[in-house]
Parts: sequence; C-alpha cells; structure tokens
Amino acid sequence: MEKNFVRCSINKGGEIAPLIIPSELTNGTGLMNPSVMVKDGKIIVIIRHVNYTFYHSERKLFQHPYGPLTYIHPENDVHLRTCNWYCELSDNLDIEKFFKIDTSKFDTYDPLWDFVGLEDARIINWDNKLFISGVRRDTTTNGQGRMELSEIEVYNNEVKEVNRTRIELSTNLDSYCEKNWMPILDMPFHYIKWSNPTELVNIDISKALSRTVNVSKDIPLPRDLRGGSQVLPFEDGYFAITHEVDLFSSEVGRKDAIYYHRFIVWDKNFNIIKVTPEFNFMNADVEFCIGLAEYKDSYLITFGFQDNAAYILKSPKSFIRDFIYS
Amino acid sequence: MDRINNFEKIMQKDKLKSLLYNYIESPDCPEANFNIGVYYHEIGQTASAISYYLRAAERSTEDILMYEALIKASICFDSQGCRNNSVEGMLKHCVALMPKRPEGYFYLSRFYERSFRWSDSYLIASIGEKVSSRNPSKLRTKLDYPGFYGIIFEKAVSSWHTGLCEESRDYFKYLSIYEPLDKLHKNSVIYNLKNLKAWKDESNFYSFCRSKSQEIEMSENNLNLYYRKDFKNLKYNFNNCEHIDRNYSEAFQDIFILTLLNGKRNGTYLEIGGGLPFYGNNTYLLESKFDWCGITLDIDPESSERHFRDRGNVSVCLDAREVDYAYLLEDCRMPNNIDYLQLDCDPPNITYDILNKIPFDKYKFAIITYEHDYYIDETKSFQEKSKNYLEGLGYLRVISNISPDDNRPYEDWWVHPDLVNMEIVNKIINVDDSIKKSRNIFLLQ
Repeated sequence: MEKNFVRCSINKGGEIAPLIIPSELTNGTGLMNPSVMVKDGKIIVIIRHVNYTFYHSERKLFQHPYGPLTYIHPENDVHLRTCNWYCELSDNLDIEKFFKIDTSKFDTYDPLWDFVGLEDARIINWDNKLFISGVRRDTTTNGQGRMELSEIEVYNNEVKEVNRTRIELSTNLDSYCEKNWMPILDMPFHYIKWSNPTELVNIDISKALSRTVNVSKDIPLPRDLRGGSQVLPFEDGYFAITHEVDLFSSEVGRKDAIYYHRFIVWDKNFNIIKVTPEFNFMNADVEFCIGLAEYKDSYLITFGFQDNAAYILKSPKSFIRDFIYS
Repeated sequence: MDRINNFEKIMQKDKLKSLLYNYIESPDCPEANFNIGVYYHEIGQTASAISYYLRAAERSTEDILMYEALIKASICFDSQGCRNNSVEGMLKHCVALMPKRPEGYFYLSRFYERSFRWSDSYLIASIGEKVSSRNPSKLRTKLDYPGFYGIIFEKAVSSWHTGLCEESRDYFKYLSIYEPLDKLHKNSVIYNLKNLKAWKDESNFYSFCRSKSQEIEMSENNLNLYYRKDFKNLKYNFNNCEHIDRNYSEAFQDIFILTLLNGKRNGTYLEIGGGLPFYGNNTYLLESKFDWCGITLDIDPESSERHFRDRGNVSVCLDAREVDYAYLLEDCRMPNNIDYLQLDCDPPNITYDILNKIPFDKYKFAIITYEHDYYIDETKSFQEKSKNYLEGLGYLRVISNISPDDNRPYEDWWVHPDLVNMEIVNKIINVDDSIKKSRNIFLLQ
C-alpha cells in the first residue's frame, strides 16, 4: 500500500497547492473535501467549509475527551453546518477568485437534522450548465440523506444556486442515506451510485427521480468500494478515484476510522477492469477525494486532509497511467 | 471577492508551499508537522493547524514538542470560540505531560477563571505555584504566557471568588511590588487592589509613601531644574525641546538623554535604583512627554509601590545585585538595543557589582549614566574601575565628574558609538578631571 501518493506524484513532476479561504470569512474552521473541474481551460474548484474542526488522534496518545475521532462543533450549536465556496484557480494553482455560493433562494426552512447543507459537492458541467452534486440530510427529522443536484450560475461578483433537485429513488425507497454518487462527466445526469458491483443510475430531472440502468458484476475486494471523484473518460472506458473505510471501535468502545483510496478503471460498459492497490494521499488516516479533472498533460486531483485542510494535486498523466498499471 | 495577489500573499503562499513540501517529504517528522501547524495557525486556519499540531504531538519523542503542540492546539480551539471541552482537554494533556512546566497551569487556570469555575482555577494555580518552574527552558514559539506571575495572578483572582479574600489581597499586593507585570496585568492588579480595598486607608498610604504633588513640590524647592523659561538658553536643541515645561532629574540626566537622542519618542530604558517616581527621577520626563517605556528596579518596597501606582512603567522590587538581568529583560520583551541604562545604587561598590551583572553580550545601551559617587568613595577606585570596564565593552565616556552643584562629582555619562549621533557627542564631550556642574553643560550662563 502506498501511504504517500502525493510524494510519488511530485517525484514524477507533480505539484501540490493548499486551497485556502481567508480565515476572516471562515472562523478558521474546516476547509475540506474540494472538488475540481476544468471549463473552457479554467480550473474551477468547490471547497467545502464546515463550522467544526475534526479531531483525530491517529496514534491514540492524546485523545479528545469525546474519543479519538470526533467533530468539534460550537458547544452552543449541535449542528454540523456546511457551505460551499466556488473558486477559480490560475494555471499555477493559486486561487484567483472565490465566492461563497449563495443558496438563500432554497434555504428557506429551519434545518430538521444536525447535518446542515450540501455535503461533499462534486462539480460538473452537464448540458452547458454548471452543477454541484452532493448529499443533504437536513430536510427530514431522521436525517435521511439524498443526493441533490444544484444548478449554479456564476456572475461577476457572485455565484448563485438557481435550481435544486433532491433525487429520490425508484426502488429501495427506505434507504437511509444515499451519498457519494459519482457523476459521469460525459454522460449528463448519470452517476455511478455504487462501485462494486458497479451500479449506473440515470436521473430524470423533471421527476427528481433516479433509475438504475446497469449493474455489472462485482469483484472480490476486502472492503466495500464507496464513491469518490467524478468519473472521467479514460482510454476506451472510464476511471475514477473511490474510497473505502475501516470503521472500528477502540478497546473502550469509542468509534474510529481509517480511509483508503483506489483508482478504478471501467470499460465502456462499466465493467471493472482494473483496481489499483489502496493508497493514502499524504499519510493521514482520514483523507477524502471527490475531485478529478483532466488538465493539459495532467490530472488534477483534489482531496481533504483530516477533514480540516484542502489540497489540489496536479499530477502528470504519465504518472497516473503508470500508477494504475504498475 | 477577488483575491488580492500582492507580494505579501505570494510570499505567504510560497512559505506554506515550502512547509507543505517538507511535510510531504517526511510526513512522520514531528517538526515538519509542527512547523506547518504553526504556519496555518498564524494565518488563522486553526482547524488545519490543529490537525498538524496533533500529528506533531503524537509523533514526537520529545515531551517539550508534544507539550507545545498541545498548548497551541488548545489556543486554536479557544480562538474558534465555544469549544471549552476541547480547550480544557488539550490543556489537561499538557499538565499531565509536563507537570513541572508553568504554561499549562497558567492557561488551564485562566481558562477556568474565564469560565467562572473559581475553585478549579484556584486548584490549578495553587498546584502550578507549588510545583512548576519559574524559569523553564524556552519553547520554540512565542506564547501569550506572561511569565510565572501569570499563575500568581490567576491565584489572586480565583482566591477572591472562592472566599479567600485576605489571601487574594496579599497576592495582589505581592504582584504589585515584586513582579515585572505587563501593562494588562498591571492595570488589572491596580484595579483589583482598589476594588478589593487592599489599600484600606488611602490617606495613610499616601502619607507613608508621599504623593506625586509632594514630590513635585519638594523637587522644585530642592533641585536645580530646567524650566520652560530656560529654553532660550538651551545650548543643544532637540526635537520637541520647546514643549518641555520642566525636567525631573537631579543633574539634567533626562536632558542629556534627550539631547543625545534628539528627542527620541518611544524609547526604552532600564532604571536600576529607581528611587522616587518623580523626585529627581531620570525617566519620568522621558515616559510622560516622549512616550518611553521601561523597567524600574528598586530595593525599597515603598518606592516600588509608588512607581507601580503612579507611573506607567514596569516596577520591580528586588535587590539589584541578585537580579538575572538577561531573564528580566527577555521576560519584559525588551529590545536588544536599549536606549538608556541608569546605574544608581549606593554605595559605589554595589553599583559596580551591578554593572558587572549587566548582560552586555546580549544588550547594548545607547546611553548609560553611571553613579560612582567619587566624592564619597573612600577608596577613590570605582570611577576608574567602571571606566576601564565600560571602555573595554566599547562604550565612550562623554562627560565625567558630573555634579548637581559645585562640589559633588558623582556620575560619568557614557554612550555606545553605534547607537547615538556622534556629531552631537563630539560637541558635548568633556572628560577631563574637572567637576562639571550639570546645569552649565546644557544652559548658557
């Protein structure tokens, strides 16, 4: 297993940059799980900002009073709130413009659950419209999670959410939490909902309903493959970065977790044809990648580090291919 | 919002990138984690900082790095607001890890004090006072830990609220006399001493220590002072000299300093043998009209208490022969180049002993007024000894045998050539054996 994918990439000509929104606008709390796309040659990134700080005692030496892994929200507000920042980056990965996405048109209700806002929003361009798509859990009193597709419009001095669609299921209606669906870049309104076995779904926006269009055969892996980045065309098929989680309890019964990532390659019919060994980006136990984009001779990969920091990695295509096929 | 791509921000980003690359090269290196944590902390990205601090603490084999990383993580949580359990948890780790270091006790006691948990605050301050070191080794970064007196201060506050009122008053009095407080703590101590009625009988206190107005009156009667009417006769003008109503020094020392430094504003001083805060005092004019600040030491508690109450400077009641000056100056965050050093302790052998304790290897002084008391020195040796010593350090004697009148040569005045304008020095310099009446040095007859 590679614990330091970023170092390998840098050694092969890659480059990394931190993604930061000034702390005057964020109170210094978590910036995490960024997503990336390239539109008209311009790098666009969505950064998730939360009102909490993730605390993770990786070696269990200095645990929090609440345990080794916990979310430190304000003690007078139990909600874990998310908002999203739209950013435009220069070629050298500096943030040139940033706007908090204005969601006020649709945020007209009191949240009904502790998790508030659109979480882990992947950015996509479908039918010449910009969308961000993630999970929302604040619309029901039991925290039921559903994927949402929000159309955003970019103006000179603001970015606004102009449409919001909560995607319901046509089967398995009682599913508690649908999240981390991976939008397919060149197939508008299609996602890989589940990676192994790979389940392809299509969205009917007018009905706000998803429908499974294909399920391919699963392959043996030690853990469930969960969603990750967008799905990009790759050679004669597709590829993406997925994640897996080892969830476990400490000896005194406190929850803990370790995350892993892999590249998955599909053929054009979404049969898995290649799975890389699992890897970490920068040696941390909790990292999360939801962004992958093609940019000139490189791929851009965005990921969160311990839910508290956001980074963008520019990695040569040749390195990614070698990594996948080595 | 457009990102302002100014030079500073580019430099900041480059610094962060450099730290990030160091981290990526050695992600299990405690220092690499700590350093990137410090940077994120400095730019207010406290969540990111906490992750790296925690990684540093858990990967280090050095208690001191773990300790500092955890303190800084607690400060990050504190700055985010409303994360009390996290602040407290981090600080408890610190105290458990290094119970002989004082910072953890200070922060934890202060945290409880600010949370109105008085008995917890008192408990932690009391333990800290008993078991932790007054002079701990240096940490890697600057914290807002004020010094050991911070623990005493927390104990003074919390003891009042736990009903230990006399103890509280005693601690505040102790702080007012014996500790070099920063401005924040000093103001708070004064406020508390008044409010807690620690000075019960104001009239007694004033009569005991005398008052500013008494001192002013006495100095006008007894000393040969400079007044505004003398301005036309001033030999060497300096910036804002026209605005001086009167001086306070016994022998024009304050005028000498201002002349050599051209009326410098915001200067710094170390006044050893402070005496009274106004009468014959060499720094009051500098402080009140030219915004200087500094430290005054005196062995007399009453004098120190007067300084503490009536002056803006740091006042310390200590035997000047027993002071660790390097520690004191660092503790008070004094710059390495200090504008003025007064050495004025009786008898002359004591002043000379103190001269030998000044850390001239770390600190330079633009001007020194050195009291050798030649006229009463039975050995007639200490002027020469001090001359040899200071010349050996590169200082230049500008005026010798200064006397407030015609027959009491008691001081030599020195400068460091690197820190003063030598043009004015060359106009004033006079180091022959004659007695120089101070008034005549600066005023036309």
